[in-house]
Amino acid sequence: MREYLGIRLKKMLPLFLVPIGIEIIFGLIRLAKPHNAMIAEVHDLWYAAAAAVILFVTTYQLIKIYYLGSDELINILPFANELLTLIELVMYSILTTVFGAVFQEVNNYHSGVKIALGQYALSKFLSLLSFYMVLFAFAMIFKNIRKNAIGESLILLATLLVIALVITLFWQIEKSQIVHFMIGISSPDAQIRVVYLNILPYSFYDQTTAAAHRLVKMGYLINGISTVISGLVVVLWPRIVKLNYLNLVD
Amino acid sequence: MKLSNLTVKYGKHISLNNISVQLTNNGKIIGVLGENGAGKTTLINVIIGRLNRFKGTRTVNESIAYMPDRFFLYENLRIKQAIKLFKQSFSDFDEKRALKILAHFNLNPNMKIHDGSKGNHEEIHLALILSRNTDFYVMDEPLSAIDPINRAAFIEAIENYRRKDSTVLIVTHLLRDLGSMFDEVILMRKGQLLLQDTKKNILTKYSSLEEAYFKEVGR
Repeated sequence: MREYLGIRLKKMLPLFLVPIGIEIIFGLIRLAKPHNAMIAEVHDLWYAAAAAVILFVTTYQLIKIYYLGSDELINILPFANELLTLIELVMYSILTTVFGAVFQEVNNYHSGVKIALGQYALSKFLSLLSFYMVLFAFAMIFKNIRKNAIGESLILLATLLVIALVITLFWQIEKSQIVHFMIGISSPDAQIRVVYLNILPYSFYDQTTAAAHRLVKMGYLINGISTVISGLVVVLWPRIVKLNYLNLVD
Repeated sequence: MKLSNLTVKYGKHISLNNISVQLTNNGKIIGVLGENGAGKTTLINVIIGRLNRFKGTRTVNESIAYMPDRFFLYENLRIKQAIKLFKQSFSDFDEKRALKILAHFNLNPNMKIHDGSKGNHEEIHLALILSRNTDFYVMDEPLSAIDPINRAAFIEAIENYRRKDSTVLIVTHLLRDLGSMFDEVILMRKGQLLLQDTKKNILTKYSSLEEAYFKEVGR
């Protein structure tokens, strides 16, 4: 298994190392020109675009590996496809979190605001993990659909539906606590708390410390519950339904 | 292994229609023949456990090494990494045998896979698959990328390097190249098993396997 993990990591690393490298270059440029607002804006835009591309590519990759069964190496090896997919999505979650953390560190340095990196990383990792787990659970539920276009559409639509449900649930529970918010990451500020819910970041403004902590904790809780439910589906579904592991690309 | 009353349907299309096959690991080489859409790959998918939604029963207690018709290694690997991967992944993998087969094909284990031709890729596949000590070797169109000059070396490797008492199941269209090595033949058409018999018996009725194929499948 160690050799497989090394091979797999080597295959996926360019997707993450290139953006992390560019992020470091941005950090150095911003260090050289600390007051240039345009560079800061381009930096923010670059991060948003790169994060979106990484998410898009990893989402498709996960569907390819598990639903389409198009990676013959994974099919050949004597490990369960489910286990290998799980390893894959954990790797994506960790590497995307590292990329986000590098961006966050550069921004923190320039804003002079200390945002606990541990809290950021945990929040980001959990939100990514919950997203990929939901995607994996639906890839499994729709695995026996042989028409790729239908299967892929159903997986994506169902995942988006769950994301919407999770957000609605968070809102219903916490609406009394929220003063101002925006979808997306804003520049670091002591008054802003970022909560990740199934990949989407929300910035909350002007919260009291207690309310901010509550929002962050609720984010953890909802992502955690979503991950556990998806995990249960992933464990139980193959025991209930016989799954085919065909290559649907050919 | 025993497959009984096997039926596989995809919507209205019947891919396998109530077929039964029994195979033992007795050192034979069995050719699975039939036109496109005959159900050969579906049958293989049931045997190797990739297709689990079917009617009928599948009893497979034997170990199987499967060689797909698509390239399964990442091209940025070196052959020796692929060997290490197989050694770590399969407890029945024989590294020495893999190196012998690679030498048989004049392939250097330090070679990067993308430096090899498509034919080399098939040879690397074969070296990895045959180096497993399994009861069955199942190969889907193994010669598709091998040029006519190198086919003899490929066939020789299948005959000489597999575990001697194992059974090899080969799905192919290349009857002219592979027919001579078959001990037994399974003929399929439109999801049905037309014939499963030894080559010896078939050749008492027909002058060649090709004639048997055209007469049985072409009916």
